Amino acid sequence: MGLAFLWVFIFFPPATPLRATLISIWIAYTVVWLAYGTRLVSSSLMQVGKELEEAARITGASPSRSTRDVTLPLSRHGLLASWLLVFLMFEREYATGVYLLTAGNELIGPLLVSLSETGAMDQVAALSFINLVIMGVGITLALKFGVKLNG
Amino acid sequence: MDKLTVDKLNLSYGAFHILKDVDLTVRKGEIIVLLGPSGSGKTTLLRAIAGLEKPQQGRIAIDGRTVFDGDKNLLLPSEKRDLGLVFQSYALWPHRTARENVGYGLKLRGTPKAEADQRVSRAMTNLGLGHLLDRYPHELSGGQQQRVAIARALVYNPPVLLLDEPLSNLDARLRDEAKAWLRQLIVESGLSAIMVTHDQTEALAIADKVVLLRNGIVVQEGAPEEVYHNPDNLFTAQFFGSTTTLTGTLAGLSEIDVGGQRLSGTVVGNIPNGENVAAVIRTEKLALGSGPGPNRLTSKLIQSMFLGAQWEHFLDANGQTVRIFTEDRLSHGIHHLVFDPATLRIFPAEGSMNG
Repeated sequence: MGLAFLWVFIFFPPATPLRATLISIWIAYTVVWLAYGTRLVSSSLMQVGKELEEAARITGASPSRSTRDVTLPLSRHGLLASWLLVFLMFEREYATGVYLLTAGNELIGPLLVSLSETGAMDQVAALSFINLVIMGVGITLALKFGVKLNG
Repeated sequence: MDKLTVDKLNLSYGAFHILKDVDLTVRKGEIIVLLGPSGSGKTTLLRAIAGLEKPQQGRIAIDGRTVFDGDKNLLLPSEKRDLGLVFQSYALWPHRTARENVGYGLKLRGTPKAEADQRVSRAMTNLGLGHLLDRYPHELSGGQQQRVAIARALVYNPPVLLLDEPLSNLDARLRDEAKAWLRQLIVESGLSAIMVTHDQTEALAIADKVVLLRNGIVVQEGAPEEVYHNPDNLFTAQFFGSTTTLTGTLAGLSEIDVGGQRLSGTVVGNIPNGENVAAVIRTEKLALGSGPGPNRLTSKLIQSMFLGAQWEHFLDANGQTVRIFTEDRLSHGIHHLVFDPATLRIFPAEGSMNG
């Protein structure tokens, strides 16, 4: 998949200017992991009973209003948990964007790999620690908004 | 004025034809109960009226306003129909308090906050929930949740209140109370209502008019006494109450020949002589006779069960099982059962359908 994206950004003229930017990496990650994310999100949306939305419609809410007032509040925890899972996945994943990296546009995962190849272990350790802190902040944010880690 | 009319409504899912040319009228202040075995289309009909299912043909009008017309390709979404619906599961929004659940319809209609609050409190107090306004649904009992669901559907004065098996989630004792309470509430508020149920006693108790459905067709409709006492087809006759069905052939003008025994009854419709027929009699209309005689059904006792208030007996009459109730124990052997010929109703035979 990563290679396919490299080809797209090399040979598809409208996309070539983006190749050396973070946007190309962002697009690659979004497309590759969309199916995974959709799966997580749809299962949390399905947890909201169909009748709860129907009840809102009957009571007089338009489809968008019933999504806003019933579906989203009730699936909020699931949506946040999905975000947390995808976030943790991206933090340690490196295969998707590996071909799109250019100097100055590295991702932490691939950068750790290439740094350890060169033997710069102290830099690897420092970057890993930063990575851990970022993960910690992400998890703390998710917990603060109501994600429960067990059940 | 008619609050709701349904004309020749047809609805299918793929090859399954669920509703077939269904007609229904609800007058102001009337309680209609849709009754039928599972799979008869009663819930689908209610959902089609509510706009939750899409019919293919026919017409639905609420309060004189057409909300569905198959010919004109008109289909108003649920939120434009201004109905109130009580779900079987109650479908209360768990993240909102009882007050917010009930007040949501008023909020959507742009009712000023002060007035909305007042109407919510009044509706909740009327239903005996005045002290539970700020509880969440999971903090309420089943009966209280049901009342909140009813209050939510009533508070914005819908022209027709729809109830989908509203009593089936209550325990037996609560259900009996709720039956009387629900009818009183609807009548006193001058509401028009359609209720779906599969429970015949519930239907007879609550309805002004019972509509009996079978396989998506209206089999019979009428006042509860009418459908109970004057069924015009075998399905209706067997559906209500506890009955005994005897099969045989039609003999004479109005007699059924049950394996050689001739019993006179009331023939419903035109049936040629000698045709296979089924005669239905309610268990409570059969009694013990003193001895053999004309128009008495001779049968042999097979089995007796003590039910508390009475005995239930199973007897064999020429290979067919007959049920009767008596107050006292019954001796073994042959018995002669008497009945009023007006209560034995004879219909053209078809396969037994009382599932």
